[in-house]
Amino acid sequence: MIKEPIPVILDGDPGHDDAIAWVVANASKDLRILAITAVNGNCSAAKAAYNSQRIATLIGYNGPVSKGQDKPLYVEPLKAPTNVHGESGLDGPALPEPQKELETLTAVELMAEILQESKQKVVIVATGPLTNVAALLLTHPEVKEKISHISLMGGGIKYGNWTPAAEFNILVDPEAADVVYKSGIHIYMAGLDVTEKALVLQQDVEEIKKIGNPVSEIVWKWLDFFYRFHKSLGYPGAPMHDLCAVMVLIHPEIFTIKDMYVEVETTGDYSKGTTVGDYYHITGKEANCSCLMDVDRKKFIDYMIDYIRSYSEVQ
Amino acid sequence: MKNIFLSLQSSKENELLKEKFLNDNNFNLINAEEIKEKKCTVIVNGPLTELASILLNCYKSANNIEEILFVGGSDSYGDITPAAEKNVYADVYSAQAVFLSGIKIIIFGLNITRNLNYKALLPYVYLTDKSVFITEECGAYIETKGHSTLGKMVIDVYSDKQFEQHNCEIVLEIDKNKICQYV
Repeated sequence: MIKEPIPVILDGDPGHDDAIAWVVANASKDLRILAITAVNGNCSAAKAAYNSQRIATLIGYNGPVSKGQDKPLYVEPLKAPTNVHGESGLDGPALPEPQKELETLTAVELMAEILQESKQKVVIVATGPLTNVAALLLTHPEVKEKISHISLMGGGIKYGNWTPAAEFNILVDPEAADVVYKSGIHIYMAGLDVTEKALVLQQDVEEIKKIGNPVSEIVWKWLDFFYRFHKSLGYPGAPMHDLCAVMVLIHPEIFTIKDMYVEVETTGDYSKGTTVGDYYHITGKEANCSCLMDVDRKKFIDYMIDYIRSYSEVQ
Repeated sequence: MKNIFLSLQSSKENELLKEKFLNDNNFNLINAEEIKEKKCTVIVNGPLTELASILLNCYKSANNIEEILFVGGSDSYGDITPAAEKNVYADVYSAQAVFLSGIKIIIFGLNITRNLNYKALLPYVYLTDKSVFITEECGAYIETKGHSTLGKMVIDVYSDKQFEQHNCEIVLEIDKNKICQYV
């Protein structure tokens, strides 16, 4: 039996790890990308959209790319983390220029249109702040039934990174995250619990360097850039945060997944933007999230490298 | 001889802890009034109401407390709510007053005490033989405002982002072989 590819919408703020996630999503025959939508987060929505177009050119994706929300639903944007991703949001190697214009539809309009027309249920892969996705659910609640689930990178059941309790993507737009987590749509949550274990080590970068196709040449340089920040924090490698949200769709078996009820703290002196997981099932509330808690790092990286290698064939 | 002030909820296991100190010549139990005059270590297994009240009532007491050993809180998950542990949750404002006091706090949290039947004795063992415990310096404060996180011990032990002050030490592991001789 031939497995039908899963239709996905990729929504993110590239961002080195978003970019690598999309390189893999595009290479996988198990996924079919319906659209790429950009959101404010690691950089402005305009920069993220431009980066998305350049990534599309690089990986040979010809579908629609659209710019999304400029700022969070209610709160002011956080300062862009240029120490992590550089001024452009995707510093490092020179990328090919866009070959295709951005859609005239906004990200929300485009997602709504695609979902309304889709005969199959679609997975939204959200690897930036959840502003676009929340705006979609608020303005087009009827499309919920067309979304099979949301696979997102955000939060952490156990801890944060941008504050001690909160992770960056959720902290940027806690209200949007709250909308998404309460939407009733099931979430696959790649939080820091798993993403900081999905490390690309120096020897893996060397392996990618050896591949020598146009995509691998960019990816190893991205990794090289992205690792600088994490090295300064003492990480033994570069965490592939966003790739976890893609990889779990293709290879769920390499992850340890725990179902629980998760809600987002939108206020508080210390814990705004915290994803609170009912780890011990105290509330009796039904699980709205499948939380990725651990990963077989070796297999994760091997798959990643295989997908990057597969660009040698199509060139 | 070390002066010890015990702030304990009444329970069978806390009685056992008290007995351990009474039977050990290395320690001298003192009452709340004596804290004003004597350097001491405070052990709390219960809500932090009494200790916060002592600190707020007389700053001399605060200056005399060298260390607080707190059985409560957590490195992450809660037990009374998904985010909060019950000793903290019972009185979040008192808890935060203690965590803002600047006095060094050793945290014996849910991450090690969950399903441990001798958790009340941990402070005694700690003062007797620190090598039983693996601890890490960290910053920790109490959330007193969140909708979902009221009473959460917000701690930077696993996070990239650190608090400016490392006011605590949290126990991350117990040497199960070594602890046998004490409990």
